[in-house]
Amino acid sequence: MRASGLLSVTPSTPMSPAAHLNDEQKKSLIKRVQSVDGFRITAPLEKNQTLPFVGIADATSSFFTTDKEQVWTDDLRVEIEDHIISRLRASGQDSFNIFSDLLPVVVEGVDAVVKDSFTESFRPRAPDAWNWNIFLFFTWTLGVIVRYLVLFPMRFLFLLLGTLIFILVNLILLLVPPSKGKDAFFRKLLNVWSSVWLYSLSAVIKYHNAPPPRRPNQIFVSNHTSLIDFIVLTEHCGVATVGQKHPGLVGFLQNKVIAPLRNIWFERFESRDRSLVAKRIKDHINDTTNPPLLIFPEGVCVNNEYCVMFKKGVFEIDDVEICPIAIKYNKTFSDPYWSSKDESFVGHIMRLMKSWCLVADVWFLEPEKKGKKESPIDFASRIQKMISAKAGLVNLSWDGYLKYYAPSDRLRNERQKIVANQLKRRFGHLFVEEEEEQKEKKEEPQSDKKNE
Amino acid sequence: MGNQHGGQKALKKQELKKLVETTHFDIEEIRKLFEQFKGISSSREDDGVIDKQEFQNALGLKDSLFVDRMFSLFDEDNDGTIDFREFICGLSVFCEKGTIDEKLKFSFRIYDFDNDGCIDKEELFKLLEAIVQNSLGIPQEQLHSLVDATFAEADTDGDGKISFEEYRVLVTKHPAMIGNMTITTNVKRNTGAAQ
Repeated sequence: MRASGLLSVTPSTPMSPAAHLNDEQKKSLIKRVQSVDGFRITAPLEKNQTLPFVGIADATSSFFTTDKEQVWTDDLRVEIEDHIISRLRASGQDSFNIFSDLLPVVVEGVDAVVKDSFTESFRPRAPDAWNWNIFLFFTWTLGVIVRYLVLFPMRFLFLLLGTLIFILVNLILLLVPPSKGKDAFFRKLLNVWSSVWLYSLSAVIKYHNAPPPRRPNQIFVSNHTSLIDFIVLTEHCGVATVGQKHPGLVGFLQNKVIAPLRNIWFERFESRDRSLVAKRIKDHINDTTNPPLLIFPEGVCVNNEYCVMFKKGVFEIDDVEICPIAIKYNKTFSDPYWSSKDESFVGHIMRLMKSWCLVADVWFLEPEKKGKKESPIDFASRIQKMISAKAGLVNLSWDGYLKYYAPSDRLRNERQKIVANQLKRRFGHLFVEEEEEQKEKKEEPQSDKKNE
Repeated sequence: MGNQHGGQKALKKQELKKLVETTHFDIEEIRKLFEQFKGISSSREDDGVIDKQEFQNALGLKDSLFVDRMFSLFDEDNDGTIDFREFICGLSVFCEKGTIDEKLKFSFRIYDFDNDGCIDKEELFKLLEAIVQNSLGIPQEQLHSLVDATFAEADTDGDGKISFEEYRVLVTKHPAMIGNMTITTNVKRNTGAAQ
C-alpha cells in the first residue's frame, strides 16, 4: 500500500491522539501496523516474560500509565487502523484493469523490505563478524574458549558466592531490630552486592559528572536498556524504585529484606489511583533520608540505539526536580540490550558473562525543573532530547507500549473483506453474465406459457 | 570491521558516489539502506548478497511465483542473487523522485517473465493466478476470460501480445496507477553528538 497518499484521507481533529505525531511518524506507524498484518517481516513482540521481580522495568514507570494513557494508546491504534481501512476502501475504487490491481501488491511487497524506525529500535543489533579469514578465525576461536571456559565459570561462581554471602548476611540482619544504623549498613551491603554483580560481568563503567546533591523533590530519570541499568546505578549511588507488591517469596524479599531501601511498593489496584501514587512518591522524595527515586520513563527496554517516548507521569508532579541520567553501552564488547521476548533474565545475564566485558558511559546531567509555561508533555520531551543527545541515541516519539502491538481482528477482517470485494468487482461482470443467462432461461418457459 | 570479500561488507567511497549519481537517493539514504541490506543479506548466509531464500524471508511469504517475480525484478543480471547495486537501483524506482518512465519500465518487467519485451497471455494469466491463488474459488476459464478482456482493451495492434508501447498507452489513460507506485524510506536521523 502506498504511504504517500495516506495522510490526505482524514484530517486529524485537534483532540485526536495522532495529532501528537508528525507526518513522518504517522507514516512509519502506519507502515508498522500494515507490515505486522500483511507481509510480515517482524513478528509482533510478545509481552514480557515474567521473572521474580516481575517487570521492574515496566513497573517503575507503568504506574504512571493511568487508564487515560492506556486509552490514548488504544485510541491511537484505532485511529491508525481507521486510516488504513478507509484508504484500502478508497484504493479499491482505483480499479481500472488487471495491471492496476496487481501493482499495489507488488508495491506492498517492496515496502515490506524497507524497514521502519520503530521496529528497528527494538531489534537487537547483530555484531559485525570479524572472524572471516583463517588467522582471525583462529584468534576468535581462542577468544571463545577463553570466554566460555575460563571467564564464564569464574564469573558465575563469583556471582554465586557473592549472592550467597549477601543472603546469609541478610538473614542475620533480619534478627537485628530495625534502626538507622541497620539501614545504613544494609545500603552499604547492597552497594557491595551490586559491585559483585558488576565485577562478575567485568563491567567497566565510566561515570561522568556526579549525581546532584541530595535535595528534596528529586527524581532520577534515565533511558532504559536492560535491568543492568539498575545495577549500574545502584552501585554508584543507591537508588530506590517503584514497583508492584508481590505475594510469596518475592513479597517477603520486598517487605523484609530490602525494606531499608525504602522502595515504594504498590498493589496493582492502587496504581490506578493517581493521587495516591503521586502522594506516596512526593512523600518519599521529600524525605531526604530516603535514597533518591529512579524511574525509567520509557517504560520498556530499548536497544540503546534509540530512545522512545518518555511517559509524562513523573513530569507532572508538582515542583519536581528531574535529574536526567544518560546511559550508553559500548557494543563492541557486549550487547546489553535485553529483549525479553528473545531471552529470559537469567539467559541475558549468562550471555553477558560469556562476552568479554560490559563497557558503559553514564552521564549525570544538570537537574531540570519544569518551566512555568511548559506542559508536562513538553517537559518530558525536553528531557528525552537532553538524554538522547548526550548518549548519541536517535530520538523517537513512539509510545513504547506500542512494542506490543498486534493487529486487531477488526483490521484483519476489514482488509480481507476489501480485497475480496475488489476482486469480486473485477470478476463481478463474469458472475453477473452467468446470473443473467440463468434468469433468461427461467423466464423463457414462462413467456411461452403466457403466449399460449 | 570486515573488508571487501566476495559480497559486500562495506561501502566503498567510489561506489557510493556512483550510486548517488545513478539513483535518486542521497548519501545518508544510501548508507541507511546499506544497513538494511546487510541485515537481509546476512540473515541466512553472510555472503554480502541476497539470495532467494533471504529475500523470501524478508517479504515474509511462502515460496511462490509471486516471490520469484519480485526477486527477478531486482535481480537484473539474473545471476540468482541481489547485490547492493541491484537493491538500490530497484528501490530507487519506487522513490518519490522516481520518474514515471522508470516506474513504467520497472512495472512492465513484473509482467514480462521472459524479458522479450512483450507480455503474452500466458504470462499474465500465470501471474494473476499466483496472486489470486484460488482465494475466491474463481475457476480458470473465468481468469482466462479476464485476461482476454484485458488484452482486448490493451492490445491495439492485435498481435496477441502487449508491447511496452501499448502498455504505456494503457497506463497514461490512468496515470494514478503508476503515480501510486511510491514508497517512502524514512531515513532522517536526528542523532546528537555523544561526547
